[in-house]
Amino acid sequence: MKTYYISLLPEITLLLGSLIMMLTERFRSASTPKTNFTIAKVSIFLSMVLSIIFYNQSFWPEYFKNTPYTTASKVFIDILALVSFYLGCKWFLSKNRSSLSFYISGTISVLLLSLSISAQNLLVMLGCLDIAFLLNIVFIKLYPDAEEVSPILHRYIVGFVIMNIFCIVGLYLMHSNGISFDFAAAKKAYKQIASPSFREYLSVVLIIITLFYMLGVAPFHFWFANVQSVSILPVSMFLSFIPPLAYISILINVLYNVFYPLFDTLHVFIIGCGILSVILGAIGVNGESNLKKMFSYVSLYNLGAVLLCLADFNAKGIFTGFVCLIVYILALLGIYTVLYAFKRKGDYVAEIGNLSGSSTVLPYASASFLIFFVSLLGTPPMLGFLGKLSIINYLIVQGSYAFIGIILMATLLLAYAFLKIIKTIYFDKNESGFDRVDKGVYICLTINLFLVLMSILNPSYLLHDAEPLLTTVL
Amino acid sequence: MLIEVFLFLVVAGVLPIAIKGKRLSFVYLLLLTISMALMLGYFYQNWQQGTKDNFTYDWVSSPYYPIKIHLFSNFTHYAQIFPFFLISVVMIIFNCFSKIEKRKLEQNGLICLNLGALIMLICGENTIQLLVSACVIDVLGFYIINESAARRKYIFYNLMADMGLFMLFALIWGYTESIRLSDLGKYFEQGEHRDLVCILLLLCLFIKSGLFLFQTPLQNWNILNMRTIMVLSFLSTPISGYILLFKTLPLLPLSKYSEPLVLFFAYASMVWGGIGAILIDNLRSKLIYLNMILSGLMYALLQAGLTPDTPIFASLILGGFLLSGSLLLVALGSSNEVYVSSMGGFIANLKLSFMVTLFGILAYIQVLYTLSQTYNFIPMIALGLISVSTASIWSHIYFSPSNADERVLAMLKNPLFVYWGIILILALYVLYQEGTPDIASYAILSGIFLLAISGIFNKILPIYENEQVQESDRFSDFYHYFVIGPIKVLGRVLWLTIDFLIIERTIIYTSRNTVNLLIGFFQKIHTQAKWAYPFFLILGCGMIYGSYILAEGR
Amino acid sequence: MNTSLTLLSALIAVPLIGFLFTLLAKDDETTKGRNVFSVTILTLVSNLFLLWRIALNLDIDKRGLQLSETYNWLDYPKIDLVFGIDMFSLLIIAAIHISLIISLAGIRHRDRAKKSLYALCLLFLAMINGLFISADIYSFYIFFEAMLLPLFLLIGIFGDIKRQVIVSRFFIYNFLGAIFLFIATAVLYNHEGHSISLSSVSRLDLSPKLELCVWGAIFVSFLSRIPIWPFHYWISSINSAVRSPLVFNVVNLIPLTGVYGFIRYCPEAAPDNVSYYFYILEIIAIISMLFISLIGLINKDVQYKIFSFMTIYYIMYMLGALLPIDKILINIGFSLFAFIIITATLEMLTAYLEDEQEDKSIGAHGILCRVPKLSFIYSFLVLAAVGMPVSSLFLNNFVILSHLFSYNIRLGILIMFALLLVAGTLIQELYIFKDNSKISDDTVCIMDISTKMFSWLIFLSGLLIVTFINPLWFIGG
Repeated sequence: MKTYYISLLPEITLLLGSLIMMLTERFRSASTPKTNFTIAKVSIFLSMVLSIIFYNQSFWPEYFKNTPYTTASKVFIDILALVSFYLGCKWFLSKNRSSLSFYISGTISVLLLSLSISAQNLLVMLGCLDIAFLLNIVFIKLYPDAEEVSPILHRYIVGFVIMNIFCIVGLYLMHSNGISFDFAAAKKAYKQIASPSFREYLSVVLIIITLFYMLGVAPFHFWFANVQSVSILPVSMFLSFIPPLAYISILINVLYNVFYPLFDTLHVFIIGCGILSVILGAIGVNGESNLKKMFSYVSLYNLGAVLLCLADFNAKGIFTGFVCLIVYILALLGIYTVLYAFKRKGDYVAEIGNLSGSSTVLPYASASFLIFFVSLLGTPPMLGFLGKLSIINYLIVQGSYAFIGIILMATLLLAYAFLKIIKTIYFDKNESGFDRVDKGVYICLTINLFLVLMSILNPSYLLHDAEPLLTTVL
Repeated sequence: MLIEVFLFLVVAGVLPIAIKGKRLSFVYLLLLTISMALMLGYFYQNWQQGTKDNFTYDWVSSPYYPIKIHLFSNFTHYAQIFPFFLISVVMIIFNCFSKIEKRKLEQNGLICLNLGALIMLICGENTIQLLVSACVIDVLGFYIINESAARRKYIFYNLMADMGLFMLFALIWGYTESIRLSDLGKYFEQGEHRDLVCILLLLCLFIKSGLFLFQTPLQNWNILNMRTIMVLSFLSTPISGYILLFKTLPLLPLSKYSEPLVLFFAYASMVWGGIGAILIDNLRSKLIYLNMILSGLMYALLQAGLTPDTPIFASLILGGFLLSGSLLLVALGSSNEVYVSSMGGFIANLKLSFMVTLFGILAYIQVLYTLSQTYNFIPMIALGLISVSTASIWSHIYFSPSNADERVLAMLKNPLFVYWGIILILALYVLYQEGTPDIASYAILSGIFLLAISGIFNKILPIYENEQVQESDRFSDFYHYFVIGPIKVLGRVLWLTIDFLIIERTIIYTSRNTVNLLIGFFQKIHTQAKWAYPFFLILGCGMIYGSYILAEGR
Repeated sequence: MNTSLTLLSALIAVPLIGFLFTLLAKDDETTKGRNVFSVTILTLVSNLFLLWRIALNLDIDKRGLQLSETYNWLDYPKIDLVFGIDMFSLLIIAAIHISLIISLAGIRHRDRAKKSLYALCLLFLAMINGLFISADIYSFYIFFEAMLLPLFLLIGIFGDIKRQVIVSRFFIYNFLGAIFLFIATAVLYNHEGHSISLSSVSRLDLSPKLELCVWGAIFVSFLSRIPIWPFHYWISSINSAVRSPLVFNVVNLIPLTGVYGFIRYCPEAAPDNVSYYFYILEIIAIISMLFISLIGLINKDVQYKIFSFMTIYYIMYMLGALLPIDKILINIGFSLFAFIIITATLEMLTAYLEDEQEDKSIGAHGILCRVPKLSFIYSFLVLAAVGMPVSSLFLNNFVILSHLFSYNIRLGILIMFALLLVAGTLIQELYIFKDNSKISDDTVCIMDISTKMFSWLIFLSGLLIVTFINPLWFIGG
């Protein structure tokens, strides 16, 4: 029993961290972003270490169960949160603004997402996710221009309410069909259903679309780009990595451990969403000049590709989806890191046009930017090729040639948009200078580059033991 | 033996080009001239002694593409090479003593190399050797010309001819899998498109030799000095074309059109050459036209059976050279005056030159007369044309009232001994070779003389003043308007329609607009958020329902 | 890990190491690009030395790729990078190295080239080397696409192109081609369950429908690299816009990758089921040759003329390579060897002439009249380019054409006509450069090339002549 209590330590650490941050803010007059970052860093790091230590211990296994799969997801989220917090600290230092809300919301968000990942009950899981999703409001409010934020925030809340209504309807239908919210029980119940009725199908889909909405998958993606456009850089980075990664992890868990018996019925819907995401993502990138919005569409494209892999509900699909995800995260992480390097007169670059001529002033950052872009495009020998290869190979095995065509044509559109950025960076003349880049940014960038380049030479380093680890979810 | 000569020529040719413009170049020049003369003697001696060898160099010894370079020393080759060797040495000597030639050493080097290439051509036993030699001769000709205006058409025409030959030999090799000339006959058994092969071959050779319809590049040489024209006419492409025909004779029976084609172009060339030699004022053009008669005659005689390995062929070439030499004497004596209408009455000052000319022409007449006894009317036609042309030229240069300006008259004198002496020796040599001249030859010479002094040719003086006749180049115009022009128009039309209209304006614009349309639509549904939310929600609901229907249907 | 990194891998590794050194080398006003230039040249020379070593290890009589090396790259899907080389590849790689040295010599004093130019050049070299030593379909595809990025940057940054939209278009177009190859590669891989050597692609037992689709994708992808009608526009628009000889040279190596693709994927004959594609290809190839040669003839841009010349030859090589005769492959290789060197040198000199024209504000007429060294080299190169017997182009093209004639005489005649047109185009240009009719004593002249450069070019000319003297050495000539 003692072990069970101790296994709560990762969550307690995160909670404590948040409390300490609040207390520090209350009692220490000279609170700096560094202090908050240090507290957040320590708490997340400790939480991560403790998660690893108690990787298979659970305090309340009926509701929250830790497995190697959930632990791996949490660790991944923690690492990304650490990077995000570290770079965010640079931003707050540069802007000389209070970072308390960011770090507290971030830490609590990580806590809630971790709990959701471990959740074994739909109600608990969705409850945690809802709170985490609501926490985004704090993030959005960090944007300095209140007028610009207001309508987007309003729409965000409306969207949240609508989706919750859908979710509640879904849960109600599920309950009325006599299906428990417990994962194992639900799966068992669904196994009894030979051919689900529309009502049964709807109950499941309404829950899934709630997850899709949070994940920002088409056609429920509309909030994401808008929120990104009014997010400060640390928030934008946080929202691009931590929640999506957690949602994907949860989605895999739910799809395989709850709705797996309904595979035949759900398959078409998931594929439809995946394809639509890929198409809309690729088109959306071309229509944007705001970098953060652009990358939100890049996310849409990549998440669509991941969904296509997951739609077949098998181990190879999970592995392929994981490869795509990891490749995408590494590349996008690099891109966000580079965005911290592009600063003109104290302002971080937000529009493509402001990148003009950066290659001459910041050659290292520009070259890294280029490498990450190419990686996102899936051009060999960059790491992104691995993702493209995995997904195309998987789709060929499945015989989904039409999807291959769609994905590759979308890649072409994506390339067209990326070329615009590359052209601005490399071919356009420098209009005005860039600010000096923080060494920490360079360190992050170098580590990221090293990972990407090493993975090119031997992708096994990156994917070592990934497959057996992922199959523990099944 | 020929390999020694060949190697000597290569070394003797490359060295002067490498050391051009250096001090002591005169010494090199002298050494080159002497050594060439000695080499000619050595060559002649071996010929007379009947020295034989079968030198072969295995250029490519692959079983797939065996290529050998043959330089067999035998009587046939000696006989063919000899007139060209002799002419080369003479031209080298002429160059040495030229007062106006600035590139003596380089020019002489090129002549040596050209002779080397000609030897390779003559000794060629396979199509590759022929092709390489012919191309090298073209390239050397290009460098010998050294005047951009004269080079232009020369290089275009010869390039065309070379590529035509290249294609032809490649085609033959493709069918017969052999490059040996002795296997050309196999094409009878395996080859297709025989008419095409023959016609293409003949057209290429006609271009090279500058026969009728293809004489324009040769006419462009009229801005060069007389010596260069003679080098080109007697050692360069006109000769290589002829030798190539001789080498590829086994191909001619492939087509029934071969003989009429050869004869038509040969006669037409002779006639056109004769007309040109009479009606054109420019002395250099006259020389070119006179050589055109010779080229036509050579082709016609080859068709009739006269091969270049016979002694009479050497005499024929030398006879033609003597005629050109006689004009060279006039040019040298009159300070390089170009127009015969600006001459007249030169007999007073150029008696010696005229006397040498008489010997030269007599030798040429004798050769033609001898040939006519075997080949009937073909040499007679040439003889007639040459006689009238010569009479016209003599008339205008020597016997008509003087039209020369004072400067020319003041400078009018016989050229250096070396020029007229060599021409005289050559004439005597030809006469020696052909035996005592016949009465008929004397009669023809007398006829020419009488015709020249009769003044009848003064009537064509107005034609010399007619720019239309003198300057116009109808053949070039023809090619320009009917061959090159349409090709260029076609190119422009294609560029406009395909590149510009279809690709740039249609495909690219359409793709760009489609992408822009998609992006525009996408932006519209996203930026109008109050519509976007319901739109996507409805779309989502539709997808939920649609997916269910699809899944159930499946 | 089953790896055997030896000579072939070094062909890729050395330029990559050079690339890193170039990035690290000091390049400022004091060094004036000397360091990076030296590193680049050293890298190229080192690779040439490596090639020489490889040539010593090659068995000329043996068919197929030799000195095979395998690198286990990925476990799922199981992909090994397999390298191998034969005399054909070796000749092309050597020619590329020499052509890059020529181009680098051309830009050395042209403008202060930035180190990124050299770095990208080396990166491109590594990728193209990889392509030419690839022995299996995945390795081939990886390098086929990977070379696009350095190429794109080279064109965009250093090509001096005014309309940058064409650079993006060019990239997208080539990227599309690469996507087609990717699909074909992935399909073939999954069909067989393992990677396939290049030479065995044509022998695979595929269903008729799959065969048509896969080969269709392969054809489209390779044709996307060759400026074949109606897809020539993307490359031609780049070619006529690029002003840097190095970039021009690099761009002109792109069609070579397409031709090489055809050669490797259809070594002897493609499956019967897709013979239909070959007929279409032949027709398109001929239309392209005639079309581009005609446009080259009327176009006033020298760059376009050189482009049209290169295109015609590339298409001819492609048609030659597609013949069901394996033994002419080496002829194509040796002809290409001379061809690449000739065109790179021609382009370098043309760029020099254009720069001088711009500097002195003079026209092209008679520009070579007072520069004997340049005039000599330029004339020599033009004569070599048009197929005069001064390089290996002459005899090897003779063999290739004779095979084309025996295969289809009409095809052969049309090819010859196109060759004649491009030859005429080059000669016409040479004539303009050497036309002294408008030159007088007070005409402004350009500066002749330096003695050092002249010596280097003489060496190259000598090299070309050596290739002519022993044009079929590889088969015991």
